[in-house]
Amino acid sequence: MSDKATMQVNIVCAAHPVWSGEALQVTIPASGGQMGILPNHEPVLTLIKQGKLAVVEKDGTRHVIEVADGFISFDSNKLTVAVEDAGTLKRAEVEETE
Amino acid sequence: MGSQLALKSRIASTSSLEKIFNAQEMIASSHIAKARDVALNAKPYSDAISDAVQALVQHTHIDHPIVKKSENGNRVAVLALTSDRGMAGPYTSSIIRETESLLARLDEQGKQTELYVYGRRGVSYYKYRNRDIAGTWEGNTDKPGVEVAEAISKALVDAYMKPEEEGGVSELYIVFTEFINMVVQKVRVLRMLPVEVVADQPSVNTDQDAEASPLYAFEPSVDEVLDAILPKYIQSRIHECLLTAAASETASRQNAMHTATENARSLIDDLTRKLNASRQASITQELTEIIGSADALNKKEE
Repeated sequence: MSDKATMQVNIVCAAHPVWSGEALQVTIPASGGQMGILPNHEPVLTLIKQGKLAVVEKDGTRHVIEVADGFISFDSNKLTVAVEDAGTLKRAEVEETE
Repeated sequence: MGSQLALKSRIASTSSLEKIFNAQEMIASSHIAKARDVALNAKPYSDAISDAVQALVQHTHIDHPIVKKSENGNRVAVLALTSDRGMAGPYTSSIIRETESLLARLDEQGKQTELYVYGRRGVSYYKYRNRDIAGTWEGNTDKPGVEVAEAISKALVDAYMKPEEEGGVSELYIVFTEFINMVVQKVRVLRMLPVEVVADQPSVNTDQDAEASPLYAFEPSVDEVLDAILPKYIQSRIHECLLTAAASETASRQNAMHTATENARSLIDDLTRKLNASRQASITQELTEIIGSADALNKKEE
């Protein structure tokens, strides 16, 4: 599992940073629909709408975070998620996958 | 004797004032740590937005009204960031002075100015003088949240995006206090709109040409991304200004209260010295009187 490619993920909202770390996969609620991002994705800058953002960590842990109104940018294997709404972000929940 | 009582009561009142100043100073210094935390917490977001705007500038030719207003308007908005409470030394008064001189300068250029004020002190200053204010916000100047920044930037961007005939403005200036360090805070005037987007330094680009310009794919489209991100950029810049202003306010309050405490202490020292001198003088006088009368009695007996 450890030799799988990972990417650096940084989730921030207007008032404070939310989460950062290495991830295997991130699913974002992009403006055009759900969008999965894997390591070494092409550079992209996308708006996101309200929805659930899912991060799969290196050890398989899956975080689901409510996000609303923001954007993501991906380049040189670094994903930055910037969202505005802090209220919904506080309800971050962690789900264990088997 | 009367003067001794007066001195005693002055010492008592000054020392209770000193306690208040000292408490205010300690409150301010505890707030500074908090203000620093808030500013640090907001930094990643504003960095992310600046990076995104930077990327947009490098890959597209921005022709958005926020960057370039087509019409050359005559109306200018000025936002002054003052404090909610006093006891912060010259904080609000220097902001107001700078705002006034900016307004006068703009007037000379034949521009029509619209004033926006944040902070209770500034609002009451202008209300008292019956000045027209286009918009005011109050509350939490020492710890401005995202909501305030959102409200302010929304109002200002709305005013900016409106056409001139409907009361729109073509430029926006912010007068705020920059936090340089604990002792030095400087009033600054910043032109916020139209945005001057500065591309990265060319030296950086030549050094790492390959990495510096990844070719972004913009989704859903460049225009929509611009429409969404530029207002956010403005909001995060305004939030940044609010945060540095809050840090400056707290620091300048701490300085003012520190000076006030010192002054109260030296006043107490002075008064205590006067009290001691007058007590000593009255004792000496009493002694002379006693000795004098005793002498007189002795002489009679002889």
